[in-house]
Amino acid sequence: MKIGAKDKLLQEELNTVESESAAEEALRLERVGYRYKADSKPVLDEITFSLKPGEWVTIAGPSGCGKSTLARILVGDLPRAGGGLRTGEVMVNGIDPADAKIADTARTIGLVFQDPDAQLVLGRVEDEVAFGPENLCLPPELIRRQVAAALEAAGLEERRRDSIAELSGGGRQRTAIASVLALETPILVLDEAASNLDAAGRKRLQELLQRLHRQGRTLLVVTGRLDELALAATRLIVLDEDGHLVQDGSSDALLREERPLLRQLGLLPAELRVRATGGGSPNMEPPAAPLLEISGLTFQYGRNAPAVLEDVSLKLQPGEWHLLTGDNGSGKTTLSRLLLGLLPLPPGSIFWQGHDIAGISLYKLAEEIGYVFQQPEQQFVTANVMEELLYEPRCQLRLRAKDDLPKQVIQRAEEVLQLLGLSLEQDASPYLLSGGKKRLLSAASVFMTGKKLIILDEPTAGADYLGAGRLSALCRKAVQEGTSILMITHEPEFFAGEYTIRWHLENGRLNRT
Amino acid sequence: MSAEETKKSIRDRIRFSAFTTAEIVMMAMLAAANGVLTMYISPVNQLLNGLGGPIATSTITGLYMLYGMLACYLIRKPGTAVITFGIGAVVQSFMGSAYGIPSAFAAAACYMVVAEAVFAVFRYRKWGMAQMMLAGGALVPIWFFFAVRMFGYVKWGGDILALALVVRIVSGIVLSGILSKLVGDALVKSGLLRRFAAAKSTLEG
Amino acid sequence: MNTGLNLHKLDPLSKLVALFSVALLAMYWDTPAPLLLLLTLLLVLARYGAGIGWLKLLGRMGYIILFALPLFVITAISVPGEGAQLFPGLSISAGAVSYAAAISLRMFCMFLSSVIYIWSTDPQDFVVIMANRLKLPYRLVYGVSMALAFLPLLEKEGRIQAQARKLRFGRAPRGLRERAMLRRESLVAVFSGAIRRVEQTAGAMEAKGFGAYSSRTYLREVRIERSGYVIMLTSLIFASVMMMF
Ligand SMILES: Nc1ncnc2c1ncn2[C@@H]1O[C@H](COP(=O)(O)OP(=O)(O)OP(=O)(O)O)[C@@H](O)[C@H]1O
Ligand SMILES: Nc1ncnc2c1ncn2[C@@H]1O[C@H](COP(=O)(O)OP(=O)(O)OP(=O)(O)O)[C@@H](O)[C@H]1O
Ligand SMILES: [Mg+2]
Ligand SMILES: [Mg+2]
Repeated sequence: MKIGAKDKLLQEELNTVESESAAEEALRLERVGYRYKADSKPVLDEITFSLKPGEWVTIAGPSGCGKSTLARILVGDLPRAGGGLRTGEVMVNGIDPADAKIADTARTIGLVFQDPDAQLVLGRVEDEVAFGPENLCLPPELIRRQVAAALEAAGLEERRRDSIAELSGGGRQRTAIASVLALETPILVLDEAASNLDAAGRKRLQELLQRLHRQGRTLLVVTGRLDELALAATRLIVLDEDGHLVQDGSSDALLREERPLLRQLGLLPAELRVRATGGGSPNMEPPAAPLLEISGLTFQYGRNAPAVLEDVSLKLQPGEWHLLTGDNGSGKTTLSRLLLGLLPLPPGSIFWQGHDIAGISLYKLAEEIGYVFQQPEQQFVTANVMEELLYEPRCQLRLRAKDDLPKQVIQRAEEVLQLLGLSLEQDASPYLLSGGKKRLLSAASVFMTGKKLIILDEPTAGADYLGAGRLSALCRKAVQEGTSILMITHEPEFFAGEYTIRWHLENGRLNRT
Repeated sequence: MSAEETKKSIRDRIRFSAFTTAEIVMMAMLAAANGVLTMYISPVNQLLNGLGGPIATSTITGLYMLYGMLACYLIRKPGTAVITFGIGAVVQSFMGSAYGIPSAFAAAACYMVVAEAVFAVFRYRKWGMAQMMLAGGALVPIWFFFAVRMFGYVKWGGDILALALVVRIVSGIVLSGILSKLVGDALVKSGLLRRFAAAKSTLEG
Repeated sequence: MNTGLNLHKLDPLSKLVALFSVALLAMYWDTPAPLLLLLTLLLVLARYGAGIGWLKLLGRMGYIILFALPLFVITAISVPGEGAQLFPGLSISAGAVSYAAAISLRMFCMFLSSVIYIWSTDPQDFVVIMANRLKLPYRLVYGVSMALAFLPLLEKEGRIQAQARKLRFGRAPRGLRERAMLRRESLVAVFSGAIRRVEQTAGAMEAKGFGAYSSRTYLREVRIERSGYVIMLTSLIFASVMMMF
């Protein structure tokens, strides 16, 4: 058959690409620098390193140091898309991604971008995963095999026919991973690809990487923290805040000898603090009605859909800090959205200070409850980092955008920026911050006015330990001032030193742990 | 540049492979935005239809063409209107328009022909307010001619038809011509579109 | 439904040809009788060919009545009379009513045939057949897939943005001005968010090889079976014959 012959040719071509390059370096960077605008300060500075085929390397660095920028340079997305300026030399399997043909890059290197939503383009999971191999003209049988393997590796077999808009945050991230895996490129780059995954998902990803490593694929894991997944790599490359390469060596050796540096960069957790004292102790004087009460809540999307939540009950008092954990797709985001009536809510199941939430308007609730979305971009309302923090105080004081704010508000905003390490970026657009900083900013902005309850949906995903520590300090301070916090997270260990009440959501049921 | 050369350069640019991926995604995004917009103004449309009949609904016809005009304004390549209105028609079809799939396709076909013709007259080089207003107004009549036949407006009498046509043309000029230029300029100013022709031309001139 | 005709199994192209034939016929006729017949036929097809439940069908028809009824009334009033006056005083003639009925029925037919098409067609199949059979450049045809994927995302984004605004605003807005401002700002935010996403999405697509070659392969196979050709031919012939007499 004619088509079959063409496919075979392509396949052979692909094989030769792989075998030719096997001898050389998989990746070589020579004094690479990058600036997003010709007149701005470089994000990356004189980065030089190379990778042998089959190496498994972690690139770590604090939030905003240019890791994602580097990853995008490797696939040629930068400078093609951004219009920035790249200096130095980049070779990926012998080609320069900046001016290589699309086909050559796509067959050589695959990148899971940091933001899952920006890389999903087709409506359904299976179509999305098949997208890459189809573009490369692989024969349908081969595509079917690769898609099945990728779906299996990402734990998505059962959701292959689902619409992407209906997946949970972690589900979308898995889809993004699977869609790149299906390309089966010799080099694979993962940019914070585990940030929204549950513990099992991470473990699974780690095992997958081990398997790919054994198959001889070159792996590059980009991360802001050296957790188990990151340290599974044999080699570690460390960048500092200014985008310089400061360490390059075996993970074990660096971990042994450079602990202080790694800790200072926020790549390792600080020493465990003793349990915070004062404030936050839950049983001071139980008031008549709890701040928030959920009783017997059952919820399903659509009449024929399975129940996401079943008979969920919870009580929350002022000044308490609750942590909510659960697997991807277990319904955490759903539950948090129900608490504000953002989804159609059965009456008589959630009470705010003794009143049924179904009868309270969102505006009314928003006066007292702050909410941080799982996707930070969704809640930015201004074009400037500082303004983002000032927005809520301004609205509360009924001031227009031009009016001056009271001194203490500005001062508080500056303090928060300082605390988050965002002072330098205070005039930047929130949308152009790095992934981790976006998340910190979105979380911090709700702490600007005195709310009674703050709900945060995975605020530490993709943040480094420094950022997580800063956020944790912000929360601790709020709790001491009497605010309650309900935090959804896959990383409860970040808050190990705090007084927290923990809940776990499993199979639709909520249990205290 | 001589006329011969201009002709050649236009011919070169008419190849569809000349569109970058970002441009195609942009067209798709605008078509999708139009789909959402249509959904949201459908009740308005119904209300107008009930209150003031076809003349009242005519006032918002311009909004239905906005996305294609905006795409042309941002991308400025021959064929933009054809592709954008084409995608828009399929999207509307699958969303289920009250007027049926064939009318969605027919309307899109009318719009794409007129838009390409108008912009071709200016060689895809002039993108001032006047040109956009002209194109916005010009999109209306041909589809109106067909719609009148399809939905049986023919028998209303000349004056009502003429009035409806005038209202639609004005709506086209304002809501698709002027508005697309304003929105396009605002987008360019916001710095989101560095790689699109609209942004490049304002940077250069 | 083993009635021998399962519209879901039919390829999108043949169905499209049939759809357009129906539309042509519906536009050709301007008396109620044949249009009523056509509508009945379509109803049967919707129920037993596409498997749409009666209740659902009723709902859809209810929706289109909102459009068809005003059209009917206005046409009936504004068409100059031929034939007897139905109501003394009001200039509504039997001819006008018959014409108005035909126009409204035409609208029903166009709408219902489209409903059947949408109900029984997967948009992705449509895209594949456009690129595969009609040989349109796949990069452009994929604009349709993307647009259809963006649709629910944009809608969701719009909802979430509006909620986020309200939450960040933190109090009930006073007066129409503040309300309008909130509405406008969230609209702008959704739109600029969408535009912002364009470049990222394009970059991610190219990284996955979009546009690598002038053609591509497809995991799903959409073929035009013999029944498809039969449907295409029959509907074309049927429509032309009907229009000739
Ligand atoms: N499109 C852009 N335009 C201008 N500046 C940008 C853009 N994207 C990122 N930056 C800036 O470049 C710097 C590096 O960003 P990058 O996203 O590479 O950081 P990162 O190391 O991946 O951080 P994180 O761990 O938080 O994801 C940041 O200071 C950020 O503000
Ligand atoms: N709009 C929707 N329509 C239908 N189903 C949905 C919708 N949103 C979410 N779901 C489904 O509900 C379940 C719970 O989703 P939810 O987003 O609450 O999960 P989650 O616990 O927050 O997960 P993650 O840790 O991945 O963010 C998932 O199976 C998801 O697919
Ligand atoms: Mg990053
Ligand atoms: Mg979630």
